Amino acid sequence: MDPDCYRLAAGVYRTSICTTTKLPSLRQGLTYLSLLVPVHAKAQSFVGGDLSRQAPYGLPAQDFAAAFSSPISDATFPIRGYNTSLLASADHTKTDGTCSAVLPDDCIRQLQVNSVASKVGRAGGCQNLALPDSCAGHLNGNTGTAFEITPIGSSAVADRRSMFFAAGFEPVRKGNKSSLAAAQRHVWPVLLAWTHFDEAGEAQDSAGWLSCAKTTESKEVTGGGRRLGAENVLSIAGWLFLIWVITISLGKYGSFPSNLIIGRPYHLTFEVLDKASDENFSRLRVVPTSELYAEVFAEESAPECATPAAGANDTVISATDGEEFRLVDDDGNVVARSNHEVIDENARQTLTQEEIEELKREGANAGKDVIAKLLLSHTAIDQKTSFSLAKYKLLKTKKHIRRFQVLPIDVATFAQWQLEERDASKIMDLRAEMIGLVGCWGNVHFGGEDVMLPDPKAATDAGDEARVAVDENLLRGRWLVVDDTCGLLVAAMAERMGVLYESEETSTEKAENEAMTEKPPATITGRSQETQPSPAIPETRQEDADTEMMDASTVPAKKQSDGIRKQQKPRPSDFAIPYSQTNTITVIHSTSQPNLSLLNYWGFDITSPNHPPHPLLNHLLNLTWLQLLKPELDTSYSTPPLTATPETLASWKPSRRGNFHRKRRRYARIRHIVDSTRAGNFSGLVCASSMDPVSILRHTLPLLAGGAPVAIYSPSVEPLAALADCFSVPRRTAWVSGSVPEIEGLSNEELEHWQGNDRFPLNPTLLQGVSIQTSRARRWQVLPGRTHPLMTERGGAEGYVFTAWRAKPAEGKVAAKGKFKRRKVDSETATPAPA
Amino acid sequence: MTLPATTISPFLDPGPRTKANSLAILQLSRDNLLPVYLQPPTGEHDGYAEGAVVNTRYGSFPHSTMLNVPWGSQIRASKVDTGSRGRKRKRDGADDACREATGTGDKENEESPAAANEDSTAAVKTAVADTSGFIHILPPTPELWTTSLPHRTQVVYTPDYSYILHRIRARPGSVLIEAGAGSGSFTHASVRAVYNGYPAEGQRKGKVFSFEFHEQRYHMMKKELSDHGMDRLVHLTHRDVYNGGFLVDGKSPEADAVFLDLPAPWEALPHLSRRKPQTAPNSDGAVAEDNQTEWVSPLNPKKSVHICTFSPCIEQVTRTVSAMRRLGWVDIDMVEIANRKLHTSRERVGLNLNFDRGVNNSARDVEEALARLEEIESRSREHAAKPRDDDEDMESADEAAKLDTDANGNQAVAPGENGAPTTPPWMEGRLITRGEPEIKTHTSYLVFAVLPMEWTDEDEAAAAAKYPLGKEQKVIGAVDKLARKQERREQLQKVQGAGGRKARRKERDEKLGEAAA
Repeated sequence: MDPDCYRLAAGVYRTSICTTTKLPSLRQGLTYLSLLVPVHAKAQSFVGGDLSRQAPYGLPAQDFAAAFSSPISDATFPIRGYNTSLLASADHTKTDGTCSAVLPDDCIRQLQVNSVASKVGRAGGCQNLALPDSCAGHLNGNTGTAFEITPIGSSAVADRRSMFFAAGFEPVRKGNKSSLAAAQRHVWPVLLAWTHFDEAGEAQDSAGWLSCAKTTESKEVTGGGRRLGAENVLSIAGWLFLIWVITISLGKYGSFPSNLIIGRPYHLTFEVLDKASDENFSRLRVVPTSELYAEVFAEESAPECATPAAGANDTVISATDGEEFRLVDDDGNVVARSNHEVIDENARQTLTQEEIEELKREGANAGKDVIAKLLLSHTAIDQKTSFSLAKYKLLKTKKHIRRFQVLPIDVATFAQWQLEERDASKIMDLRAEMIGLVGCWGNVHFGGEDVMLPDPKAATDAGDEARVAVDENLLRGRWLVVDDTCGLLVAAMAERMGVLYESEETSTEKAENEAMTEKPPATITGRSQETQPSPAIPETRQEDADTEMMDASTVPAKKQSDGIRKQQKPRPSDFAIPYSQTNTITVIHSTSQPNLSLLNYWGFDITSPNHPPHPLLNHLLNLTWLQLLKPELDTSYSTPPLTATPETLASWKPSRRGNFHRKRRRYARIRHIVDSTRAGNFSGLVCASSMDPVSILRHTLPLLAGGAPVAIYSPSVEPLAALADCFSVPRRTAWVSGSVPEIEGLSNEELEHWQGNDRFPLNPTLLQGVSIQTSRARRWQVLPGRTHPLMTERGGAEGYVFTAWRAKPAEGKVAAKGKFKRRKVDSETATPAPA
Repeated sequence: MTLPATTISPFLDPGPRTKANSLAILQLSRDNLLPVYLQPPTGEHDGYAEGAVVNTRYGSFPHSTMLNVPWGSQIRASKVDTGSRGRKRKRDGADDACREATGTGDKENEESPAAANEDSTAAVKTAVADTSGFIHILPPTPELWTTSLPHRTQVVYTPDYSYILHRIRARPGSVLIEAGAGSGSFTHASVRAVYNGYPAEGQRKGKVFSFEFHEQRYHMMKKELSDHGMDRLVHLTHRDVYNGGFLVDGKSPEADAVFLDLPAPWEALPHLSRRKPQTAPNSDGAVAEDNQTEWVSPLNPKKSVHICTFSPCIEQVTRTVSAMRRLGWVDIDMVEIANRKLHTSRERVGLNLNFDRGVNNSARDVEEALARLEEIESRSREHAAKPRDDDEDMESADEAAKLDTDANGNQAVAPGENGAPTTPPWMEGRLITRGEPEIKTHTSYLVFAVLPMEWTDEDEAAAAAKYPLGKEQKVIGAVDKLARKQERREQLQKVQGAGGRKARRKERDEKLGEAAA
């Protein structure tokens, strides 16, 4: 036993066995495959196809097919040629794809026996694989958990009769190079098992084979997620990140220069064309919708094909089945039959994997040739039903067609991408339904034209007294947010309030400028150095970097003296408030800096001191809980501003001067944010937080204006239920009955700031109309004769929304009418009404 | 307060306090909402001395008590003489607890808000606070309006419209076409979504172009919109859009998004094309269009247009989707929304709880059941041990049983709940959530689609000239290993050749690019 190889084998942790469902009407043929896979691995790719023509994972098709077409219980097939050459360099006799280099013979044999012994039941259920004792020490654990392989896009049992399905397991995270490398180092045992059923559905023969394989190529797609919709369109979100003049590679789908998609409309479907002989790049073609939907149109025009499932008579796919996939052979014969005939046992894909790879490399006709050839070279294609043929084509199309779409990054698209392709937990599983509900119940909308406070024109030797005080009458249309979704919630609100995107005129104008100067436009995440402040957007934190700019001598004239007065545009004084008084979002965060990293996708970086113009700059205010609740303890709030006479200032070094201004500006900003937030009268509260909502409401309810809505999202219902219970009818009745000793003698003002106890965590009269709801969108496939809900969708957190309105309870005891008459009488006799 | 603030719809900016002649939503109980246009107390109204009065089962509420109070206020019921209307009995005697607002008080109060609410006196009519009964007064929002509006047709409820508006990208500044205004719930929600200020003359601002076929509904809707201060934000047209299309005064609204709540969306879809559709929806339409010299698209030519259709039946969906495919819409997606409201309550189970409503007086757990059974068993054994006269026996046994359970009950509860006597009833039992008794299992199917901008060969040529090819610096995305190695090698060579700084910078840029990807 080679010690090195031993280490490799030990890298496979736990094992599992999986089966597909048993097929009652199949006379003979393979019905299930088993894979030994690490349990923690998340399936990244599924392949499928006709087993009789193409064996899974590069196994030699003909040997494989031969082995299972004449079933005997101890069938083996040679597996030479499968790439395991790096497996045991010390011993070349064992690089044959068997696991003899890494596992003891006993273990291999017994694994194969066990795979047969753990028979699939009549119902086709998955059974766990018992690991033999002889494998102990090589494979961890003693059983594997069952794992059902479900091919993407097809789950009807009938489709499995002639296809194999296998799951490929790639490194846990896309783009994770270290785990990719680890996967390439490791050896992955694959246990193949198959069973033959007789017509009664009883298992007759079974056989199993263990082989060892290594990951040899990576299929990672770092360009963004891909989504295969019902229309077979490959969408690539995330493309706006990369607007450098570059070549974009879609891996096996080909690559093309980015200038071919810049300046083009969104939502068009492009196809990567073959390279012209005199060019070294691929061009793109816009696919017209008539071509996208050619298949559907063909089906619709052939009425008898509308319901292939009911095809008792010969259902035939017409020869005019779209020009992209000609499903006729060279003589123009029609190639599909009904399911009366059974797939011939010799039926198989005559193209070998090598030939397919060769075809792909040639890159002919955007993958359509590959698909067509695959279909044509399938010798039993004419015996497939149109239904299974459609599925087969779908599988092949997904795998080989080279089409994509460019989508704008808006909140809806981005959230879906983050949820489905990236890390859903980062955004607390916030689904589109929930974003909509929270936004509507929070009544988040455009809160009025911008109102800026006048610049106090404070001299540099003026202290705190020169600041502009917060004018509560100007504060309107402001929303309070607690966001633990890395900024997605803030983005969704900003979108609803019209402060997420630059106005269209500005952005197109900017793009044109940049195109003229031939400079690369700003990436979404990076800062562009040359962006000019646009006059449409009030200048904000731009001035923060004046020192740096001076030092970098971008404005040489400024360098001589105090730059403030020499500028053409008068620079606002340190105490000028850059924030609008209306239409703002106030984020309260629990760490010293808010985590709003996802706003980077919309060109806003809260941590950047020298930010190019962005609408959020004037409309996004943030403060910590400390600044809100105990501002006197916050250094930046409570330290009085520095002062210096202009003469002293002029004698300083530029960097010291810059610091001086920066600190004064920060002071004025924080003072303004804290004071205006503590002034209250917010138009609404929106939350998606992992903190206890009761504690959030305890401190934010007093800040809300009367009638202001509260909308709180939570991935699970329990925190919201506990919150709703604080406002339950019995609790409120008890509170207003006047029989609660702890609140006796408190004024309404004091009751609004009620700090809570065990019996009354919150003042139960401060919210009205408390309600919890959940929503779920169910997606459907709409195709002629085949309309039904999708078979699988994302699970995980359901998502709930708590809604209510802030109430202003009347002074004194208030008794209800009607329903609680008996109690009312009781309480009245107990404590006489004060009012 | 700035001038335009007074004209802004209460849906969009209700202001801090209630105003006369403006809509307010009265929340009578949890789900019982009543929209009311508050009237200034200009004298006797409908026989009420207090002016206009809202009568509910929770008491009577003169409008005067609800004017110029902060939104969200709890309003006490007033003692209103509902019995002697028409007899015009003069009321007298102001109560010190009464609250009212004077008829001309609005302006005064705005000038001196501190004196606004309470303890002002009135000459004629005075509302006297009742001893019991209250409601809350809430500012109107599309959500509240949707649950309280007068039904004319089936209503598009919040779970649906919130999702739709999110998906069709209705944002401040968007122009929306809505066909089938119906009861107006979607109209109100979409106005809020697209609102970015009232348009000045000739200015393009967010707007809703609404179409209603039914004449009566059209007139009701028209009045409602002007009552709500939305008539400048919604352009309501009375028209059959199947034949009439979506142009307003022959001009294109240049819509960014479309919502169709029509029985046959496929008949309206051809009007929503970029160019004159090849096949007219029907013969009438064909004739009508032939007459027109120039066909104008109602869609925004500079943007992808999102659409949503709202149909209850699957057959409608099939036809709609089929029509969409033929008209060039992409990303067709059909969903239905299932929304559930949850109620929270305290589930109280136990043998020893009092017989309140909602209490399940069965054993809380096995231990409690066991204790009870043991108790009964031991007592019957005791009883069997002492033979007595039948009648006496029964009575005393019953009494004993009663006493014992009580005693036992207290014993069993006390240690289990840590001083149970002090646990208030609203904290007893387990907190549970359950669905509302009746749920809407199906509202309608929502079909979403996108129509990309028109893109001609000339456009493509212009774009190609603007963004020339051949200057690609690097490859991003899924690059294969060989290419990456090659790139790295070139980089290293450059580092050696050109010296550190430039190459390092380039490398950093590339890393940034990768991180972004």
